Amino acid sequence: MSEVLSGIQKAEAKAAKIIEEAQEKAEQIKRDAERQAREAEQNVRRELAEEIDVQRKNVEKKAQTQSKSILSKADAEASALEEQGKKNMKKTVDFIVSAVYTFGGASK
Amino acid sequence: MSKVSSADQIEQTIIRESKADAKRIVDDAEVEARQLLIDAQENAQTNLTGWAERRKQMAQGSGDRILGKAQNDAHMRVMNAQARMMDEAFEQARKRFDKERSAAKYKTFLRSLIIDAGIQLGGGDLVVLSRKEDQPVISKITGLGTAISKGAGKTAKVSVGKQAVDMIGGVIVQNKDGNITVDYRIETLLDQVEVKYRNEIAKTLFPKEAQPEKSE
Repeated sequence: MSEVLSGIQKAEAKAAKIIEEAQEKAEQIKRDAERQAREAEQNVRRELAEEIDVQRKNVEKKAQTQSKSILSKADAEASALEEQGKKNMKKTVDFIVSAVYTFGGASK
Repeated sequence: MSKVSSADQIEQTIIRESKADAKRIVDDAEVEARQLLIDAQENAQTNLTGWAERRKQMAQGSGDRILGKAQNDAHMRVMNAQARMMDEAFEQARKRFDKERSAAKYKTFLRSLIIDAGIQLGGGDLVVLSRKEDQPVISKITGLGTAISKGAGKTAKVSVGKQAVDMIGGVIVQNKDGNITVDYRIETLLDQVEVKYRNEIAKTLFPKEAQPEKSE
């Protein structure tokens, strides 16, 4: 009889040990999950930041390409204006001189 | 023999049940852990929505700033080209007056300026100041006093100031006390022309809108 009781006691001790280990494992799982939860916002923020940074670089690259085109067009427009100005310089100077003379009535 | 067997069964049952309990404990912990992580992810997404939106707007703003600066720079390049040509036109006009100092037209011009200024000053004793080169020219102009008197309705006497003034051309006419002045220097007149005829001058310089793609 005592042998039987002893066997049952051993089994109960072993069972208690199994439960204890399971509880420890469960606690560890929860602790890990809590740690991961705490890191979640940080990770999401980092991932979003990386994603947005890529977007920003693309936007800036596109803007720079467009800027080059805008400036190149402006330079061409400025050159064309200068060409026109040179071509019409004498006529313009005549106009200015004539306008000054008009103050004194000498152009008439 | 049957006692032993029964005891074994009890022991095995205890162990089996404990294993089942252990599995349930771990399974429950895993379920709880998964839910915790899902909630954390959702909270993170919610919490960071505004932050991410602001960062995206900043990223877009960064591109807008680059484009805005380019548009400003482009505008300035075109405006500067126009301004350079306008400045060049006025510079050449100044030089033209320097060359024209001996022309008959210039003499007539000086005469008209003096008469106009004298009338504005209301006649009286008037002093004409000019650059050194124009002093002898002005001295030889006759009929100034008569013309001014007629226009001003008051006797006028015109004399040439001994002191030469550093100017491109034209005249400064003062009353005798020197406290009232009419400034008809060429540089002043050029400034007035620039203000008054800016649009006409621009149209003369640039009669058609610049079309760089179709540059001739």
